Amino acid sequence: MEIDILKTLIFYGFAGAIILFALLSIFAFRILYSLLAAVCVFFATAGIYFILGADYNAVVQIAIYGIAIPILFVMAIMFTSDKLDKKIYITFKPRFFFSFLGLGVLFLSLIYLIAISLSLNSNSAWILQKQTLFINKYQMFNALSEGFFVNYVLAFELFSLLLLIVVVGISTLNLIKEVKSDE
Amino acid sequence: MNNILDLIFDIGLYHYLFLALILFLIGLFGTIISKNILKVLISVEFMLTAVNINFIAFASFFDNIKLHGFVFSLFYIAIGAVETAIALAIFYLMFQAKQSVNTEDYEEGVDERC
Repeated sequence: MEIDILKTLIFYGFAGAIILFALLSIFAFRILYSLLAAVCVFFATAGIYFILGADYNAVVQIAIYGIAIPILFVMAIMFTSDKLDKKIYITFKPRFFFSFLGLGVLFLSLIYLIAISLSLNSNSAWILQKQTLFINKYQMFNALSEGFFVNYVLAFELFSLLLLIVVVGISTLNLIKEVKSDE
Repeated sequence: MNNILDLIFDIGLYHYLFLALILFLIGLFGTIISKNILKVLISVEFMLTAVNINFIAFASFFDNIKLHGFVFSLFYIAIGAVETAIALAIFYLMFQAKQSVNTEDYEEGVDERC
């Protein structure tokens, strides 16, 4: 079987960056470093999307998760920065160890489940499937436009309504607080 | 031995699912152990990103014509943005009430000022 070395290297590079920066984000001492590591995770995820042929999703991922959402977080950090100290905000109570233990057991059981299903059932060989048919770019835009404006047009309109409700709702939250403080 | 090397170096659907699983577990772990509210939100975003990787991997490997997974991934990104905006607005209101980003300070709830 011929192995595409370049694709393998790129995949492992992005995958390693995702895992490394995700761990760094959780265990970072300061929240700003945590946010920067999270941005790196989102950019590396966009690289994974690009490998999978989802160029448009990669661009949207960079624009929204890589740029827009971190700006929201930076605003929140700026508003609360004078109250933040440099103490690491990770709990070392029993729930830390139990969660670590539980996640480890869950992880191992999932791996065991996959291995058992592969060995017992020949129908589950789909999980080892290779990507043989590459996605045409015109076909991708055709499929996306058909998905948004034909197949899932109702969901698309509902999302636009949801965004409107969120904008109005957040403004109303602040208004309610102002009215309460006046009283 | 050769099969194992193929399994490791020949990138298939299994690798993407494994990556998404690890990222989801890291996000879940961070959500459970973090005491900083902002860090909890970032960990939730990791979990959403892991689900997005699954959507796109399955669409890319099995649905080359309709690409429903790509469309759902875009919907999911929009949901993630909305969720973050609402969560940060609520966080700001809570912060004004208690002046703290520590989740343990909110175990008794916030007072009527919020």
